[in-house]
Amino acid sequence: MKNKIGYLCTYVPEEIIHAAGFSPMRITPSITSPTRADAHLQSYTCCLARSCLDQALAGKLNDLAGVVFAHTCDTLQGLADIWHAAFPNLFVETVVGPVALAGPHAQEYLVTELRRFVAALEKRFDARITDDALRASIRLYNRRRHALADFYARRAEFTAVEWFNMMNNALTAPPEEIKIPKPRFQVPNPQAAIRIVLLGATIDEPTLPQILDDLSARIVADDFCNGARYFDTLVAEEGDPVEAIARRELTRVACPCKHRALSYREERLLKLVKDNRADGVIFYHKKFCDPHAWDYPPLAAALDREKIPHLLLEVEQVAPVGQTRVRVEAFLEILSETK
Amino acid sequence: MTQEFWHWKEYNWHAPDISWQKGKTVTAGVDVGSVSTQAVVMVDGKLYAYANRRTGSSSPDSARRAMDWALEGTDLAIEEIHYIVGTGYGRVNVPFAHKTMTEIACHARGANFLYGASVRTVLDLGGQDCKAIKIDAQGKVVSFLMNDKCAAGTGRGLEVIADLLQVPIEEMGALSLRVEKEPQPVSSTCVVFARSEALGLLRKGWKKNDVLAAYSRAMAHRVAALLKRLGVEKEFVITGGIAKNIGIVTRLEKELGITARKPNFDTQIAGAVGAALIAQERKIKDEK
Repeated sequence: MKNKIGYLCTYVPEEIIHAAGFSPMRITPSITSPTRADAHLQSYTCCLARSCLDQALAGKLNDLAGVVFAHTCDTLQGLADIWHAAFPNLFVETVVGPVALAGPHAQEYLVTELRRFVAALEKRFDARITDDALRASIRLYNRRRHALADFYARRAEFTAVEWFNMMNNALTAPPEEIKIPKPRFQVPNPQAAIRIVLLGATIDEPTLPQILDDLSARIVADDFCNGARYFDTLVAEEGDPVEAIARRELTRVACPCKHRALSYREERLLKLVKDNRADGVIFYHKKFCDPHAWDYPPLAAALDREKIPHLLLEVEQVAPVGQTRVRVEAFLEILSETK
Repeated sequence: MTQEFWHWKEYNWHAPDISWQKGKTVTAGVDVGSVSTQAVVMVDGKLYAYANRRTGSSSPDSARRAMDWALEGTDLAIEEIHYIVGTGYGRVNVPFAHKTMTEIACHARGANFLYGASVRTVLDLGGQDCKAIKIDAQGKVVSFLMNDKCAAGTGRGLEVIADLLQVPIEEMGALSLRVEKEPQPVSSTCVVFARSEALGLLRKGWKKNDVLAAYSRAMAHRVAALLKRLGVEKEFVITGGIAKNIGIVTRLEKELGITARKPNFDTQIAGAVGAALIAQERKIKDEK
């Protein structure tokens, strides 16, 4: 029997999939150019959606018993329907969480939706998701979040590429297998290095981390779906497990697809910069990722107000080395003038 | 031999009245771009010698050839130069450079030197990309934007069109202004498609100058969009090879509603000049 269920977005509750007896596996874009997905998608679709669908169409995800989506950006919502049409016999589900996280009925609504998802899994796979199984899964995923938080606490010991490899391996491997590697390199003269906050949707290939390492800059904080946003809040291990999962989803660091408060994302970014004594901010955007593109103008304005230099990089599947390097290098030259 | 219309003039120059032996600092900048390479030698921050050549397939060779040519006819040997900064696309492959800086920092510094301290916005129209740069009174970069499309708004794109229309590249600008009515711009953002579009216009019976006008207008529009995103502050100047194309500069000024300061030097050397000045700063700093 196939024992893995794929997902693309961290608003998909891994604990529930795990408690149903499956190993949730994050589907990540590959670095090879898509060939099959273009027949299904418009040219303004992001490379993440394009590459993930392409891998499925190429048969590379045939070992999945299902794919679960979350209601976040328009592209992923549309992709869920395309996935369902392309693989009519596959278990394809969308968990429709609330957009307004602080709304008065958000918790009640999300609990109802999560219970519907539990029932859909039970029905399709003839499984029984008990509260005990859910609690065991919650403990397991909390352990993984703890381990990643520990890794982040020792971040200064690791290069940007080591950070990238660590996060990408951790989020695609089963949660039981998390291992924190030993740092191979000591970052040279960490006090003199330029300190960068990096943010975006996901970072899926190491061109930028490699460039930052080459130029002796350090990522002191990040805000990525496959970075710090993934592990920041634990699920309560007491009480009703579904309610606890819902509560975490509403209180964890929100991505631009969700709404908490009007200036929530600006305040959070400024705090990241201040708390980590960052010299500048690099926005790492995927081309055609509209939630992050909409998020950018107010964030850039907030940074301008505080006189914090920032750089916007817009990349497709793989960042072009020469062009990315000249932008990053010129940005670091500006920062080193003021440091 | 058939004429190669894209060929722009390669040349070297040196100041007859400066003696480098009397200088406190002898520094150089080498700008290895995707299309052209410049070497500039300065003595105490004054232009001493320079050369401008086409970039070959190897960056180290291109850097060496430009430097040798700049020094040709002088009694200065490369070993006598105190400090050399490499810049441009091939900056990491300048074997004799002591340090590298991006062309963004170097064009900023070069524009400040060549046009004066009142410059606040620099547009570097290069061989394969263009950069809009905000600078301060010291010629330091405040912020910048680079084109992220392809070569259509750049020097390489102009070379392709020069070849297609069989118009010498240095005459394109003036010719493109000789139109009765400004035509609609070509629509393509890709230089290969723009070339096909220009070819289509020729087949429809358009005159060369009208096709040139349509291409130049599209190019000016694309570059103007980049500048508007950054915000254009006075004084506004253009560096890089395309600054020599009056057809594009005029259309760009019209679109932005701002006049670019007119240069009295070769705008293509601005990056290498900036590199040589940064080299001078480093030399002085190292001595302290």
